[in-house]
Amino acid sequence: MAVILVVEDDEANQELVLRFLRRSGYQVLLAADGNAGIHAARQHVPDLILMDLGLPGLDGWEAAQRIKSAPETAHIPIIALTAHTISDDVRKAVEVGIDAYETKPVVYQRLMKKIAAFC
Amino acid sequence: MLRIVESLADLVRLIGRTLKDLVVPEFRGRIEREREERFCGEMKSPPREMRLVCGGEKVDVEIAGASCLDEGGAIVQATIRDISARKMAEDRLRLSETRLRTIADAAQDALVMMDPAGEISFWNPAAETILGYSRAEAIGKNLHRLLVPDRYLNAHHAAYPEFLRTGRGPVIGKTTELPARRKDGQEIMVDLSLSAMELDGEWHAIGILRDITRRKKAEQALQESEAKFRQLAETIREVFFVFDPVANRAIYVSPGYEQIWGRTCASIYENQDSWQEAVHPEDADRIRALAAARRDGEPAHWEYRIRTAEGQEKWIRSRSFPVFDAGGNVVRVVGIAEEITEQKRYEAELIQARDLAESANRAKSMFLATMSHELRTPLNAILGFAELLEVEMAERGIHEWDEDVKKIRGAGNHLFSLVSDVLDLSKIEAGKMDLNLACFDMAELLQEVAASLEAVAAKNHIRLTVACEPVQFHGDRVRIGQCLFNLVGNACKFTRDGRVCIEASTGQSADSEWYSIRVSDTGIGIPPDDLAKLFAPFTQLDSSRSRKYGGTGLGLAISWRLSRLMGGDIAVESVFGKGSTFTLRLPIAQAVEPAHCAGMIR
Repeated sequence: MAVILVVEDDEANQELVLRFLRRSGYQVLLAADGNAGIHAARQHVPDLILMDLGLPGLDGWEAAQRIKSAPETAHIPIIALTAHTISDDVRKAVEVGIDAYETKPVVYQRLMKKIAAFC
Repeated sequence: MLRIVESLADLVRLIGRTLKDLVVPEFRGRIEREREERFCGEMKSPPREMRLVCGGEKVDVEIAGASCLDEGGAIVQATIRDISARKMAEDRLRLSETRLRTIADAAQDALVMMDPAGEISFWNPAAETILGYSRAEAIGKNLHRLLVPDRYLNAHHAAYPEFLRTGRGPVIGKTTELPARRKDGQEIMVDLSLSAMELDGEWHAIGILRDITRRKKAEQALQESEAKFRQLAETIREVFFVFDPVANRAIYVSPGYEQIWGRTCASIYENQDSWQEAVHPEDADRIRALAAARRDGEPAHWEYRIRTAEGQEKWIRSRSFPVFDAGGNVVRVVGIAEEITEQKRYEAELIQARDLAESANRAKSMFLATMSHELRTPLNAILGFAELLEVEMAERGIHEWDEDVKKIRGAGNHLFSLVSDVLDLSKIEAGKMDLNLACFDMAELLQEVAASLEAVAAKNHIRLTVACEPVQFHGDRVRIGQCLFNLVGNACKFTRDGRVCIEASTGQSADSEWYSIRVSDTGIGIPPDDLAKLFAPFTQLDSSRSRKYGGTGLGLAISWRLSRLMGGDIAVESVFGKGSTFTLRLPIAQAVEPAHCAGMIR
């Protein structure tokens, strides 16, 4: 059973993504900010990371970059949740080595398909 | 010279010629004729004048004599008087008279004489011209009655008896300016030089009149103009000044100076530079340098502060201009200085208010940007839970609330777009929208935009086509894509059963090269009156349309601002009911050429 790390600060969105992922049979780890995300990634080395980019403190891009630049976590696919399809968020996400993105508002059934492609 | 000779023989002896020889040829025939007549009988002949030649000299003579006939023949008694001197005097007199007459005729001034009876005895042509009466009309008329305006008659009459007695009067021997009446009744101003002349114990008056009406008018005009200037210069609150830059001497400074500077105008006349003493120490050096340049003919437009004796600080605006002579030398500087303390205060307040407004606007934009972000998070949850609800209800076979959930999702998505657009607009207005320039394939972007709108196009039965050769373009792919997404999105939204074409081309205007992307549709079109407000935010032209066609009403506003940000623009042509064409124009070669982009369209 694949383990997915969700880095998301908003409780409602955490719960939402948690419920969709569990419905699809994934095991879910939660982190509420960038630092916690990096920490959890190192400790648990999940199969995939779902990263909200607009995080308080250390933001999603920074966290993704650190995860991707650490040898032990560099291989973990990261799917980012971004604001626009055509936006700076996407460009920056690609720059830091993010593997895929899903634009907000997130259509979760579509997101699940993207996750399934990696796991 | 009078010589008396007893006989003709004596005469002949005296002058050594016969009478006949003596007479100058032109008189000879006359002599012959007369002799015959005279010798026909005793007769007295009236004296006649002849010209004789005597000693090679022509001599005018008067021959008075009688001839009588006696038995021995003719006896001629004659007195020949040499009248050369008289003749010469007469000639001289005639010449002198002619000369005087010519002078009188040629004179520009009227020459008028009045005899003791008060009547006009001389009247030259200039008098005719100036006063309007011909010589014939004037001679013999009472001068005063003819020429003096009625209101002055008494004064003239009062002085006249004294003049007749003594040849003196208040205006005799002087030049006086006084009015005269012309024949046409018009009064003119004349300079009258009056002299008295005694002839046979009686006093005559000689007047020389010069028409000075024009001069008087010019003088009056000058006075009026001077008065006007003074009224203006002395009434206005500003300081009007004229100075001589060569001598550095004040020629005129208006009293406004005393009001503004609190110093006397006299102090300026004493020392032209004394106004500078009041200049604020911080402005003094600058103004001193500018004043020196001004003396060399530089026009000046200065603003500076002064401190009055009472310690009051005032702002002054001074503008002055050089006046050149024909040789191009600065001969005068004229100018005006005014107090602008109040304006300066308003200006400062205005700038402060503007800064405040600008910072408020920036704060507003920042607030909107933050809010938009904050709004999206819960919105995402709302939409997500609606989706979850839909999925889970479907799993349990509950379809009763499908429509309701669909409405939640539809409204939520619309709200989401609005929030995103507001964020973009705020970013642009806050100046926080940075462009990321890079090379990309324009054709690929156009295909991508078309593909993302394929679903909308299909729903509305639209044939969506892209005409673009693969071409490398240097620009912000994201922003250009956003503009095009809006334009093509609109075209698809407002068209039913038609065509939407995307065509790219390069073109040239007067000063630059453009890359144009035309998005044309066969949709509903835009009424001409609405074209102007098309690019203003929140003006989807008809709110009922907004409900029918969807959209935030911000797409065009954002696209327009983005196009401007990228140095381009969006043009629109539309026929109401037939369709619209939006053209996004982007400048080529505006960016610094990156090495890997060489040879490509930038």
